[in-house]
Amino acid sequence: MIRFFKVSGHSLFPLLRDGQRVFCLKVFPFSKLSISNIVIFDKAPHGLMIKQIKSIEKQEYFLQGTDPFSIDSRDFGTVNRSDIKYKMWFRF
Amino acid sequence: MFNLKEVKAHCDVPCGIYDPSTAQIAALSVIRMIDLMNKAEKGADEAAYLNDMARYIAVKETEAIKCKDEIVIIWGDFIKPPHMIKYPNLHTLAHKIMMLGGAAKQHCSREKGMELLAAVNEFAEIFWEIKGVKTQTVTAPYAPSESIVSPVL
Repeated sequence: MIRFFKVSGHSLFPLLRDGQRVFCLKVFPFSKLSISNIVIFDKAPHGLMIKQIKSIEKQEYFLQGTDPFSIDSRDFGTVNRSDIKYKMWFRF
Repeated sequence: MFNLKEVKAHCDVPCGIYDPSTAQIAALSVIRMIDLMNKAEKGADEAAYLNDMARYIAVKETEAIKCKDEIVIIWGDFIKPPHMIKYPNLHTLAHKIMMLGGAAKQHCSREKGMELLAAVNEFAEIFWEIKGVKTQTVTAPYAPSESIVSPVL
């Protein structure tokens, strides 16, 4: 239900810093996900990644970092909702 | 429930390989070429002299450009805004290297070459500090035998 994660990397700076801890809620089929939410998803071969929702079309989410070099949907395309595991609640 | 797992917010190619050593070797090569140019003597065989000199100049030109290119890659791809906050001098330093690289092409002054190497070494020291790797200053085991900042591995 609730989980802590440690951010590794700078692709969401200044929203999130490298090494920052985030407090996340598990995403269920009934969970509400909106544009600009920060979510954690599973993407092979990278593993668990954290990015921001840029746009939503049906069940496909375009996830993007704030850094122009961020590895995100601009590289691997949209992410299916079923691959989104957590939604960031707050950071500390 | 509360175990801390890492989530990736990576940029560029994950675990991208960046290393300022190529820039340092290029700066050393610039100094070496300047030394060879200053040492070259115009003997009886003028063609041989001109041939050597042309080669030294060409290598100096190539290595100065390589030095600038390598720093630009690290500066543009590896260095991120949080690094700029921690090292506010980085932009000025990178720009200084660009200018000194240009000066190394323009002149054949050893002093200019040494300034380029010093600036690249300073950049390398910051780079390794960002990576959390300790550095040491060692003397290159080949001519021009000048100091370089290298990681303690």
